[in-house]
Amino acid sequence: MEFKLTKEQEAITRMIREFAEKKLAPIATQIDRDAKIPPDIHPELRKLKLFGIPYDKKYGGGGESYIELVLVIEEVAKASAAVSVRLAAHYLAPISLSLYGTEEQKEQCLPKLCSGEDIGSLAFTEAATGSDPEAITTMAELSGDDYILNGSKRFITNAPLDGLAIIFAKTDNGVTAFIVNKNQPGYSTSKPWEMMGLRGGQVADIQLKDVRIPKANLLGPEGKGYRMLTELIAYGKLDMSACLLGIGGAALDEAIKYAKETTARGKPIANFQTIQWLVADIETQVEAARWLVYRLAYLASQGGDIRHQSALTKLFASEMATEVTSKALQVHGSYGYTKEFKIERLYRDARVGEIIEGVSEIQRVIIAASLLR
Amino acid sequence: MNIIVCLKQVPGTNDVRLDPETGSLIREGVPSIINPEDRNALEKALLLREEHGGNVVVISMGPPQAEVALRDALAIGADEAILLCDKAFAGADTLATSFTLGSAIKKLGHFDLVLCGTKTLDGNTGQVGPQLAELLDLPQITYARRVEIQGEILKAERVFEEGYELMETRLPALVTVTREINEPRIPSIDQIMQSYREKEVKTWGAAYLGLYEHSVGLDGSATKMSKIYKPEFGKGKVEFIEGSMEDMAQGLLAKLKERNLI
Repeated sequence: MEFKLTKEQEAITRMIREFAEKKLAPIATQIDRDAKIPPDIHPELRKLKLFGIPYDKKYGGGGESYIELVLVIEEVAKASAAVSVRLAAHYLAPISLSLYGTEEQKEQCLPKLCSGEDIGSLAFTEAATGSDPEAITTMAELSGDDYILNGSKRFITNAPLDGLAIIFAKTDNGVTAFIVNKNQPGYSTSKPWEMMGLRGGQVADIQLKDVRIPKANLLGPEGKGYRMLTELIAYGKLDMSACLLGIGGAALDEAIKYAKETTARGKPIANFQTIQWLVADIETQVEAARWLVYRLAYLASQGGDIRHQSALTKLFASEMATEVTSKALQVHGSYGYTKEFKIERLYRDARVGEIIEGVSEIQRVIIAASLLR
Repeated sequence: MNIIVCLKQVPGTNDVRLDPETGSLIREGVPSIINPEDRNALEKALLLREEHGGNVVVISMGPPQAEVALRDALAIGADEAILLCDKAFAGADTLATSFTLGSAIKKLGHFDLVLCGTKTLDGNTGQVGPQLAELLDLPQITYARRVEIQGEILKAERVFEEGYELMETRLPALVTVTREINEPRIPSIDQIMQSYREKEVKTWGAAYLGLYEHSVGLDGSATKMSKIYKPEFGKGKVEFIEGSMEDMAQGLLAKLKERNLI
């Protein structure tokens, strides 16, 4: 058992941190204000090869593991959670293909996804589904050698960005996954939702009107879509937990900086025990989450079922992020409640953690179910 | 074009903490980085290689952990990396450092250009580049914010407080660069991995360079550090004198005279 990063992993952390501090941190407030990531950022992310880190080199991937991926997402999230969520949501598409794709599908789709030329999305949620697969209304009807998709999807990250979406729809045999090109006729998206946090993440609804998909784009076994979703989303929870770890780490940095720089009665507020206790609690929670996330990344890299571990990791990481951003805001006092300080954004960005990729209550159900069955 | 870039691994912070008893730097918890101006020197070398072809060798004197800085340089794009590492090199001042670097550069043989950062974050002396040029008997241009090469001629803008000088020299030469010369690139994930898995950092010691212990490290240093400490900041009043260089100098002079300090 070795609780340390390799030299290569330390180098990745160092270089991605440098990139994030130089290129993302200076525009993070602008991204949040405009709810838009400037178009010149995407080519920079592509140049660093951040879109296919854990996939086989023969498909254009980096040939690394999920550990390298979470280190990257964490560092990006420290500077801009919105940019990190673009990455995290993208990865749901290559993860789906790597787990369930045929060799032909992998050869056809993965190179463009791994290079970042295509931006990935995963679309299951609908207006009335929540986490109930039976409530899906999007339909896929067989017509000759094609399926025709009709319906709509809600709150889909990266939906308006060119690339591939993995879309779940009902066939005669049940919920089924399809590979859909986002430029295809009949695919359209709503205006992105105005969100409280993670602004810039481009979360929109998808409308599908007579979208014609060749049979060859059916992903995985027909009718087994919900089972596939629970496995895929476990990887989504890993990536999201890495975002939340980055947000938590950034909250710690902000709390320390503010505590050292701000004086009260002639002394830095860092000298006061009330502040010290808050900062100590923040670091304790961030470090606990860190090792859960890194361990989950290790397990994901080994293959196998990570649904239980990903549920408890996301549950802990999301509650950690909500709590530590709140505590770090408390360190700032009234100033933390203003838009002048980064902690205000972090506090908003963190909140979605307890909702996205399954609410905390569902995570508890998953954990308990595997313990008490 | 064969270019040698000298770089140093430094603590990546301005908030350096010192052990009050030993006076040594507390490195625990402080990440190390390539000295920022040395990154600019490396970037310039890579840009010149892209334009003129050739080879970029990075060289650093430091403890074994300085290998990390050289691995980073390989990831960024250097072709070869050499670490000058020997217990005998410890405690070197700028003269002994320049002498050791110079000896290694002579050992490398043919080169067209040596590039260095102007100053380091930790030492801030700006002495190594010029001393190295003297030891190698090379023409030198310091504080360069722009460098270009046409044939055998190197042209540079040398920056100072109130403007810049246009200078040119024949190659081979040594140039120290400032941070404004360029924006250093950041390597991709696969370049970082390749630098660890496929590339080599050579380590050279005093014996390999044919150097005697008394000529390097603490023994080879012309200066000795008697004490190192962090100044305590008092609660004094800070006054800014503004205006042109001349106004500021006159203003300072008047203040010093007013207090009978000169």
